[in-house]
Amino acid sequence: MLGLSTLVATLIATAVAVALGPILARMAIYWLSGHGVSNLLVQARGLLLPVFGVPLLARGLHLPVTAAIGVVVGISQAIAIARWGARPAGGMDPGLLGTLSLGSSGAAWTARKSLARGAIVACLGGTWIEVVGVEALLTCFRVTGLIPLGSVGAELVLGSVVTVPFLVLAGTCAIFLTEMLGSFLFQRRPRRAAAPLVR
Amino acid sequence: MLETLRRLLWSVPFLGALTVGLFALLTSLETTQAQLRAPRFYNPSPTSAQLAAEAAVVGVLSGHVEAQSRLVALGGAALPSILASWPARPLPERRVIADALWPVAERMGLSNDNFWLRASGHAWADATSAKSDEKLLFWERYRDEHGSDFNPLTVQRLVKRVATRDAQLRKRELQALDTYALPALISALGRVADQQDVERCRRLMGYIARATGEHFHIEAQATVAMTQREVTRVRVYWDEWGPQWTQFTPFDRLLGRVIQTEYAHWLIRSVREFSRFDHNVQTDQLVARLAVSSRLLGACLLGLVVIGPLLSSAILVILLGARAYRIERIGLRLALTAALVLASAWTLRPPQGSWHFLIASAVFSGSAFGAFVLQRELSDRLDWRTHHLLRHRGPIARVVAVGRWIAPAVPTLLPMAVAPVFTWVMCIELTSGINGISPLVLGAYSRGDWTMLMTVSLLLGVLTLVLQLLSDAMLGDGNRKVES
Repeated sequence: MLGLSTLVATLIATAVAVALGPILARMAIYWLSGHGVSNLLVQARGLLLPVFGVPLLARGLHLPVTAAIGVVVGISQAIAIARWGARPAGGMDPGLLGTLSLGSSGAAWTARKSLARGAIVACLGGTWIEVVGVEALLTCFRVTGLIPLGSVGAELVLGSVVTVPFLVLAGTCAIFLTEMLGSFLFQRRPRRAAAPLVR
Repeated sequence: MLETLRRLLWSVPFLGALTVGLFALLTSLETTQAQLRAPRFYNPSPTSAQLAAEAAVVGVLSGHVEAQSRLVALGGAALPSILASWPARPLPERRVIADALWPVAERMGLSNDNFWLRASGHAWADATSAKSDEKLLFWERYRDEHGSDFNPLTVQRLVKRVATRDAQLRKRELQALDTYALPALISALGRVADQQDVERCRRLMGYIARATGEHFHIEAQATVAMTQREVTRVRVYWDEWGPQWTQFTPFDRLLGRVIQTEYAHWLIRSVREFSRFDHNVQTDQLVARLAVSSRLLGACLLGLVVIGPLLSSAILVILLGARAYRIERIGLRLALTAALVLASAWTLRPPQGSWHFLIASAVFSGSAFGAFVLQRELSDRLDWRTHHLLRHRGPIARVVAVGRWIAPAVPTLLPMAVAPVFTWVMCIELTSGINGISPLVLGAYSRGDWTMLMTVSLLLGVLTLVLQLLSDAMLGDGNRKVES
């Protein structure tokens, strides 16, 4: 079915990004004065294009192409989330740093409390676009066994039935739903009062 | 400033570590694996002239035909170890080795007019008709005459003299050392910067071609660029095949475990090219293609960093003054999402038309993505309380508020945009048939040319790094102002 492959890859990518992003953000804040890890991750993201990562993952872990696209895009999005979560404005929030230094578990999810919540949600929303782009590039590369058949990106490149209005409708729905999911997961909750040091 | 300098210094080991990972990944691709000629990171059995000679001699004594041709290919580089063990070998073995080495003597140009044999009354009319005893005698005399020439200092001095002027006597002496002189000859090629260097390289190239048996040649009317290309070809060949003609100490052999690998070869080549020592045709091609792609890349980044933020700011400033803020915000969000999807559709199926249409498409894609992320970020910050406050203020107050919030977000977005922007540019190029960097990457991927893939990836990494440094410097400045 047209678009199903893209949808599955988007779901996998969102799951990977949501699971990995906050962990990476937290690591970036703890290690090397806050931003060393996130800098390294962003450089790694810039170095390795997803279109090279997908064949590696598909072959190395014997994953289906759709799943490989999902995982690779998910990791890429997780790095973006980590960067937004650990960026200077977020990292220098005194309340956040204070809570972290007290070891309070309420501050564990850095991304949730960082100032870049909107951008994180937007990153998750852009997952569908990333997935379609990678699918299209894989199709252009014409690697045997790696053309994700039935996907939106492949159909667009191959010039078949996908019409632009259909794409806009389906894409807007997919992005809107992913954003809603991200908004729900990273919603701003009232910060718990710090536990008194001496009871 | 100090922070930027510190980051800049840290970026070198960071990039070094990342290239190791990148190399490991790219050489794991199915297409690239076939192109690997040496182990990737660690060579458990590095070769050297001594080891290769020992193996070839053992093969020759066992009667293997391939071993004989191998010994001939090794040539003079095998002689130091063979001649050192010469007296200790029994006569039948010496005779077999002397027979096997005879083509080397012919390549040295000594067998045709062997003055030692003539002096001792053993001259023959035709070199090919030499008998086994005569060949043995030849190598005995060769050992006496040239045994002391096989040391690096003598060879370097000889090569230096040959490189500076054409001297027939020196030429004969150098030819008599055959492949043993190759490391010094390759090293003497040096940098090619002017016509004098061209002359020097032409003189040396003849010896290198003769010793290696490869077709290396510099034309009489060769330009500096042509010579650079040929010298680069020789050096690349030497990276791969050179160790078999090089005498290694035990420490060198230990280093060879790391140096005689694909990663080390790539690193050495990259350093040579970066320092303009080598001149690769592929790099020229890449630069030319990059010039074509940079217009699309620049247009996309311009849209993302300038037009996108301006667009989202303008819309938000207008929205903040509206009464039905929430409803209009949702409407705006939907419109931006639709614009982003439309942009991606145009990227994958670009409108047929002139180059300007494609540039416009790239600007639109970048703007849509920038506005999409920044509007979401801003609308999250400027919640109903802010809206309530700003609605009663003037437009200037709203512009200042939006500008203050959006300013730190743009630099954060900038380095992260490299990967998606490059993906879009690749899509535009591949689907519209532009002869930019993407067809080059596609060709490299199909051929398994991992060096080109590494170069492109590294370029992207460096671009990300530069943008990251720029954005952090901007954010640092902003923070200092806030603190003050």
